[in-house]
Amino acid sequence: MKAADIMTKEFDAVLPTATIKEAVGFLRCGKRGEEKKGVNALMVIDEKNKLVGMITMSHILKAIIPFYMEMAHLSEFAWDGLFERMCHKIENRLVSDFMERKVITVDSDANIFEISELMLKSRVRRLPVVEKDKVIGIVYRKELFFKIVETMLDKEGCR
Amino acid sequence: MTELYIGTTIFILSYIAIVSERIHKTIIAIVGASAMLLFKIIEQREAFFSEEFGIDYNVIFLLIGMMIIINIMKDTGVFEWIAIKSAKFAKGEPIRIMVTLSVVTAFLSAFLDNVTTVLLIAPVTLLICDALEIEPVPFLITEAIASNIGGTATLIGDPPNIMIASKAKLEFMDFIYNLAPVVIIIMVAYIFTVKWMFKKSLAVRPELKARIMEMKESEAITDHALTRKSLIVLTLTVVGFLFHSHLGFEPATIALSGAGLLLLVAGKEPHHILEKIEWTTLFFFMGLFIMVGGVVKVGIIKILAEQALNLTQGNMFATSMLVLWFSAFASAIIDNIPYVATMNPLIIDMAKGLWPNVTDPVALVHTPALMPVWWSLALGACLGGNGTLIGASANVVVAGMSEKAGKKITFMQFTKYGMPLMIESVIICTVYIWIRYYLL
Repeated sequence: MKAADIMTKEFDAVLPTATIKEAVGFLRCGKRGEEKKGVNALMVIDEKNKLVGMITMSHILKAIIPFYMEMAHLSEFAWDGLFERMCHKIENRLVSDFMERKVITVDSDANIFEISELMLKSRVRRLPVVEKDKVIGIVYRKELFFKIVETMLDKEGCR
Repeated sequence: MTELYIGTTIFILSYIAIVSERIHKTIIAIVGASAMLLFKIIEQREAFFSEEFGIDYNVIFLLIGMMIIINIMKDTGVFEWIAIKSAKFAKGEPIRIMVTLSVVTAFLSAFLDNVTTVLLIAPVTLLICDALEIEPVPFLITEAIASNIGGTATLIGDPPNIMIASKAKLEFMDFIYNLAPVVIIIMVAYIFTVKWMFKKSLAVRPELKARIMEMKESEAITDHALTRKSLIVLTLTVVGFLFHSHLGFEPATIALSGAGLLLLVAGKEPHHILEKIEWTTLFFFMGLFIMVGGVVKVGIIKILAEQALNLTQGNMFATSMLVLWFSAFASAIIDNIPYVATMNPLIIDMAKGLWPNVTDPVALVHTPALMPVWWSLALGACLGGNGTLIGASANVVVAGMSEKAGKKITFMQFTKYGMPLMIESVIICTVYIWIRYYLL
């Protein structure tokens, strides 16, 4: 069983030049397989079809919290309206300003152990699957769970 | 003779490399020190154990002790408490906040490392400026400058003072008697200048001031028990510094004992605290001491001291003025730590030339006519850091934080405020030294 067999082939991605506002729109309605039910993370793929980063809900939260608050534990001193102001302040900034640039990927022929090990070691819940430098899909941790279920339990659902 | 050339070459190359900032200064210091040892300019035994040429462990352990205390203290939230309390004391009025935060920063810097002080005060400053919806840059610049001024006042306030105290065998109270008065005068002048510089640009709506007044500073304290313990230990340490000579202890002993006591009562894992010690800075000092030991040993410093004496013709007022102004401009451009490390032996060699009959080393460095020269070196080297953005580490730190907040402080922008303020402070020092040591 290889990454290419487990992965989800339908996914949304954003351009590094997209705004944070656009990225939030994709996070709300992004494709997860066939359905459009929103995602927690987006791959950032440029015009040349190259994977250049990953942007998640955490990156956006981090951008909203003023850095000095994190630095000196000052979040208890925030005032009403600061959250909204920070949201508006960053909404037109570019995805490339906040995305993670070092993306951990997995080869399409990686086996399930390699995928599991990588997810545990790098503490991520999803891994872009690449073949010859091109992204062909994404494996979610949930899909590994479905494989475990398939192996251990019968086909009936929750009762 | 070849040793003179090799030692001097190693030293000059290292100095150029430090100034160019292409390679980290600590790497240069370690490489330079090992070159001094490999070429046998200085023996390892001398580098490690000699008081004249070797590593100055007074400086190293004083820094380690204070770093441990501050590393335990900074997570308690007590500094955030002080900063928010001062903003409320200023009633949320921007110019008053600028003044109170500058005074608080100066006071804290007199007892703690300048970089640590601005790292603790600057985040709260950014919070306050955000709440008041005003530009943070003037606040950050004035705090960095206040920190450099405050650090000048005491033996432990700034590394140049620690180094001078060790080589000139000066005590904590010597610094308080001789430097604190002029630092207070400089601070008062500084506050008036700052008020005049910024009063027009700082007006805010009353409802924004209310945001400051509604902040509950007590929420800043994360660990009440540890706050109490660390305040007690810090107070004991400062009292120890005040009386160290009466007690018969060196300042490093006091700092290390304070650190030991706080480690004991804080109940924290030591490796969490010790790994936060700035080892990079300490290794820079160690390498630097070995390199300076090398050039002192080969005699180049003595030659320079003779040149300086020829220049001033043995006139001690002229010497003090030369040291004060030269140190100020030199420290505005280069790191004041290597500068003072080089100047200390130079002044001692100069004293040897002036008073060849004084054989006791302590009596020599304590010759009454030499004292104003030491104070001029301390004042020039510490205050000179205000001249440019790269003059002091505190300046570089606030510039970094400001850039993170989306407001870049350029070299010229800092210099526009820093240079006139530095010159103002050095003029005050000139008058002070003249009146106190030569007129009265």
